[in-house]
Amino acid sequence: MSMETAKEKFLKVYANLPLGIREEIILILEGKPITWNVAYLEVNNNTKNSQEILRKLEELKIL
Amino acid sequence: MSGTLLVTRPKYDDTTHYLFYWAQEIINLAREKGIKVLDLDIERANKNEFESMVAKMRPSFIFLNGHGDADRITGVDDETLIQAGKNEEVIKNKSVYALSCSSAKELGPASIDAGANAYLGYNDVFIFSYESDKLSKPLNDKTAELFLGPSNQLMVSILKGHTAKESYDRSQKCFLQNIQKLVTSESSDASLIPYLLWDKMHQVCLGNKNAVL
Amino acid sequence: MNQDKEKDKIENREKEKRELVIARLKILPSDKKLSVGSSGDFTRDELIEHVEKKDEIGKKIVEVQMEYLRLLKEGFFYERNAIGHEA
Repeated sequence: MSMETAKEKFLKVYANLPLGIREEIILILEGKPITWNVAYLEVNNNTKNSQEILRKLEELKIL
Repeated sequence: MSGTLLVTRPKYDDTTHYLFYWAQEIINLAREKGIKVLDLDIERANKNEFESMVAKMRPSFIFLNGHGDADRITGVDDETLIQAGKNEEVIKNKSVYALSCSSAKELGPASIDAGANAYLGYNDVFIFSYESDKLSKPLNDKTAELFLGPSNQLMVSILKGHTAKESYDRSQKCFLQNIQKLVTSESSDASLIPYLLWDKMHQVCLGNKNAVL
Repeated sequence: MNQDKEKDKIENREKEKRELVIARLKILPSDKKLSVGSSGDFTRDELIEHVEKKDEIGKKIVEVQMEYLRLLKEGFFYERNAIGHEA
């Protein structure tokens, strides 16, 4: 799956998440936990971290 | 069908302690409804009493509380009450709700093959959370209620005359409602959702879905 | 050689899952316990220990947590997409 498609998938999943869930930890990035909200900021702004985030989420089958 | 309910509820660790008190609610309701209840509690939840009570009193529905495994359910001090390949025929023509781990994986199907009417239970571990300071009053434990409430809902539905499938559906709905309570922005217990979802996903209804008490 | 690489990949992934689950477990309230069937009753810190030890209880907790995370994309919290299991 291309990075672009992964981003679209992430945004779709995120949009459908209840508000309480968005504050949950979904990944460890550079040894530190990040939540759905943190991931959203990175992905939505196409940062360098977003590539790693999306890759990991796909590997873990969270996306 | 005699409409008699047999309940096993040992009490020897935190888990069975909780199940013991939450099953009391079901026993109370059954009695209020004029349903005869055979209560094998604490030490009486042993294999000898279980088998002889089932044979002698012929209950139509059996509510088993306790620990278990894929092929068995246990009673007092982990003594096996019923095990696939050994004595599952003891529940022939009866319906069962097993609030114990995993028994619907092997014991459930084996029981149905041996002639049990319906088998409701879980095909993997049953997990619940509870508040450490509520051990002396398990029925006041709002955390445990999130899990044992939907479980009890299944039995409440059975006692109200609903079928096995209807009761399963109502219990599933209750799990979902509790999950929905926890996903809102105002909940502080969202960390419990994975376990609630797990229990919901692993609850099953085997055999005759139209079985009633 | 390829088999070793694949094995390392799997082990790394398992390690990532454990780290993720441990981070998620740390936010469990300390005044609550978890009954995990016949395995026993555990505090938050005991659950973390089991995950770190990679024993049966730890593996089960990882399984429960990862299943939940994977199902989030299915929208199980909405009635229309409710997930249940019947044999």
